[in-house]
Amino acid sequence: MNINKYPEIHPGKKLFKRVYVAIMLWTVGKAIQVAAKVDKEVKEELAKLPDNFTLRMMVAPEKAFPLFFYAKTLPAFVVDKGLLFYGIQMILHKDKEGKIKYLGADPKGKKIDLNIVFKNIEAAWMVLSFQESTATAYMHDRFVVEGDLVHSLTFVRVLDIVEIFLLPKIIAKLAVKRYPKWAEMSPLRKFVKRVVIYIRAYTF
Amino acid sequence: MLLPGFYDFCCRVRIVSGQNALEKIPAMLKKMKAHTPLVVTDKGVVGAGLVDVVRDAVGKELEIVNVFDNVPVDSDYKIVDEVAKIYRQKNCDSIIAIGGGSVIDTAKGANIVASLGGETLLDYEGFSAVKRKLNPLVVIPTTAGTGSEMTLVAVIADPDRKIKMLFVSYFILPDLAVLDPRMTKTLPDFLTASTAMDAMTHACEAYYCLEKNPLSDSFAMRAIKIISENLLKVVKNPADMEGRLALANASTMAGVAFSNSMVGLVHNLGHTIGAICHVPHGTAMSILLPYGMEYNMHRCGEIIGEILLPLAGPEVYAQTNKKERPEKVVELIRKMNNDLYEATGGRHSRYLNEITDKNGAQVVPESLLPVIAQATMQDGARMANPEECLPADAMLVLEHAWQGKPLDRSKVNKGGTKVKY
Amino acid sequence: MKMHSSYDYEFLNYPKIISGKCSLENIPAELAGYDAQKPLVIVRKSLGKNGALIKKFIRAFADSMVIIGAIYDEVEDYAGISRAREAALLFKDRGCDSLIALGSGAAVDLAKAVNVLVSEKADNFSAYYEEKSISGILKPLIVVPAGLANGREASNNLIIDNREIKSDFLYPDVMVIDHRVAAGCSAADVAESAAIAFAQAFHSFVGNSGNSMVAALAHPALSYLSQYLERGMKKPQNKEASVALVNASVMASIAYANAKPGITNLLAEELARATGISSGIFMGILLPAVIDFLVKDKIKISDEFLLAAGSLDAYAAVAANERGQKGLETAKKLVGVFSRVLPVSLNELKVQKYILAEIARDAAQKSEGFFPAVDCAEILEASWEKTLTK
Repeated sequence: MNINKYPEIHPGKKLFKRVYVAIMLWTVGKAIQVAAKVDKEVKEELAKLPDNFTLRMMVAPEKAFPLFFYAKTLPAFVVDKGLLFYGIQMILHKDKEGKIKYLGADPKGKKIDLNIVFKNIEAAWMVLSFQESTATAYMHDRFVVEGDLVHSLTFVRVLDIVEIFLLPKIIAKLAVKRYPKWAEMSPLRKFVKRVVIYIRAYTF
Repeated sequence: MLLPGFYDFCCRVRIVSGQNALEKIPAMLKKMKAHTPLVVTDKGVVGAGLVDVVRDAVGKELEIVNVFDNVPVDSDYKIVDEVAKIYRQKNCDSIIAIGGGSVIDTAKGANIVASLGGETLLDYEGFSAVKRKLNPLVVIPTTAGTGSEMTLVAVIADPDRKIKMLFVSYFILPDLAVLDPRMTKTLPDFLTASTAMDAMTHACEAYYCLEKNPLSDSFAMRAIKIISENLLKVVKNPADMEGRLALANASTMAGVAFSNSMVGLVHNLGHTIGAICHVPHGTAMSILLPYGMEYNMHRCGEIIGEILLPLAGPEVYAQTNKKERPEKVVELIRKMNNDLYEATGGRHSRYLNEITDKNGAQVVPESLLPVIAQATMQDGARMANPEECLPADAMLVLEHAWQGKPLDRSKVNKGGTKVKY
Repeated sequence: MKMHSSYDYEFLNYPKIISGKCSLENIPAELAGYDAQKPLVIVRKSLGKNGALIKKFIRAFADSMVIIGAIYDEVEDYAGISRAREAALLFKDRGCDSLIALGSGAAVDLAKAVNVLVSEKADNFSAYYEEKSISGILKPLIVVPAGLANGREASNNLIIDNREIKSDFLYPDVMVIDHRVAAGCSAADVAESAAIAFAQAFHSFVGNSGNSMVAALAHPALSYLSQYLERGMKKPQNKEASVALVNASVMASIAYANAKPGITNLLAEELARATGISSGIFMGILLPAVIDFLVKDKIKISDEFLLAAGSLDAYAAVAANERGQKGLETAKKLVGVFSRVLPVSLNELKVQKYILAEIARDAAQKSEGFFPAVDCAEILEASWEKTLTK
């Protein structure tokens, strides 16, 4: 048998989805940081997290996503020494005073308390492009949680509120279980917060 | 039958059931190349003489010498480590867990440490730490209700950090579950009632919550049918061994269903009430089940209506108008609770304000309801419920369940799109 | 059915089932759960020629750490030792740690066989045909069923060089059902796979070994067959129908692994052995005759069959004493669909009439006396010549 007839296959990359997911994670991180400052409900929810708490949302497997797409062409020691960091991630930190800060995408030197991991890029794509709501994605095992499950519930609730702020009703309805009625959240609050969060997330 | 857009299903536990199921254990262990089991159990089980029942049943083929009977009601990782240590000291090669949820979880945890090496369970925290087949684990449930012989989760507390650690892996699943009515024979009537209603809740919630799938539906349907046909019979006649075996089967089927399809509001509220007021799990479940159905009725009424078929039989199902079926289901569950209340002489509670402890004091004071409602946000079961449930919504349900009046459905917040399974 | 029998049993449903949208993308995570990241993929030749499908399959592994050791696409309708050795060599040469079977039928048999060779470090199967049993856990095996099935996809046996090996270690670890792979085989293949699934589910349900666990597995299989068979045969490209039918086939094959063999399956396997034609076609021919036989002898089947094969409302609308009969009628109607694309009589397949008696005898013997040879012969006789009812 000529075994060269059956070559080894290195499956490729999904560049567009990588870029999209990375941008969305960045936006979500920034938006939560701003929302925690300007909205009372988000602030109250996040107060349930312990102080000095680091939360990470990422796409698995970490090593499949070197920061630079050309990492493979670099000498091995650069990659091994950890001079590059890996992964499509979003890290949020709650400090001692209870302030929420978006810490970028590099987990190096940080102790992660809660890790929310999308099983693959396709799962992250479906959630972040609102084809699957957070609850549906959880039901479909699209992501797993490392750490205390209770805190991930808080995070999911915050995510829901922020999505209601940021997205037009027609899309937000796909992303959350129940879109709030007037009595639960007034359109004025929604609109003002939407403008404020967008401006501050993209400028600071 | 509904085809969900996506689902996954796994229940790789071998099940042996029958009036003489215990006798088959030695042969099964031999097949798994195990000869020296460590029995893990608690004082209650030993006190009820159940370990002796097992010992007699396995006879001379398998000698049971190593018994650890110190599992407390709320087990923690220290107990797990202790069990693993004994396992190694005595050169055991398998575990037989005899008991309820706490014993089974302890055995699952101990099996991780004993099989993979190391000193403590803490080394194996995190969702992907267990990556290979563990040593043989046999589970003999003694309460027909929890279904934890079928779940791939072990919940084990860490008292130092005050958290509950979750160990999730397909490798944690037991290799063998043995269903034998001799193990539930001595269960008092009110416990038979509440554990069976616990299984009923697993099955019903598995049937209408978000992660429903064809296989969990099929198992849930059968569990509901068996419980509604047998429960009252067994409560009235505790010596009915065939009925007890049927209930044990129903509990396992419900376990298969809910471990693959998750549970919702009823468990969300039930867990929280259990944690704050120490209400037994089964009691909270049976009280809250009708309310959970009513709360979700506007989202998935049709699916709840389908439960009428296994619950009441085809004749009632055919006679009931399609629109009235979900309400009929709720009505029948309430009636079932009522019948059990009468059959057990009032020891099976119907409402939250009826629950009393040994001294007759009320267990759930009305003043605590707002605290419970807030705390429901901290329980994982809220994710799988079809309708969103915020503290205000939980409060609405709790108030009704406390007073014992049907839920006023006009007050439920609505506004979601159609549920997609 | 007496209550006693339905709770006295032993049951194992080993494979994990993943079905639906983006299932293929879950494979890397499943492999990682077994600490594996370099699978050998074994593909049915007919699927392997479909470049677009293979491309889609590989695409599902993009952005993961998985490297595909090789795609071995030499499997035809038959799994033999020489192919198994070739693939095992490839497995070792590339340092693979797991197996994926893409496509149903022989590809799965071969993948199981390769798994035995590489995990047990064996060179042939002669010892396993005799007494030797498989000693322990094999390498992780993921099956992605598609195309013509043989009913052993999710089951605990394999057939290589026409001989069977059975062991609970042969259950695949994960079944992945995705419309990108499942949709698009020919109507005849759909019908043949469905005939096997129906025979397996039907006999798991009505056979006396039927316990409530097996029934719970066979129930959704029958449900999907009755809901989606027509649509799946008319439009094999239909995503929903193809996924549902593959689901049915997987569930039926697990249920059947836990049940006693059914008369249809025994006869069809004997016929297949004698003629070299695949057993699914024979099941399509035999099923109407088997059902007629049950009707004629007034053999009582479980009421729940009607519930599974019909809808809840249809079941409830029928009076209790007529449910068994009505169930058989529903079954008859359902299996009638096969005749649109499959042969309807043994005569049509040029099966010699004189071998029928021998086949009936062999099948009766295999059933350990459960089905008398007279019954087997009667069913074969009835299937030999039939007028077309297209």
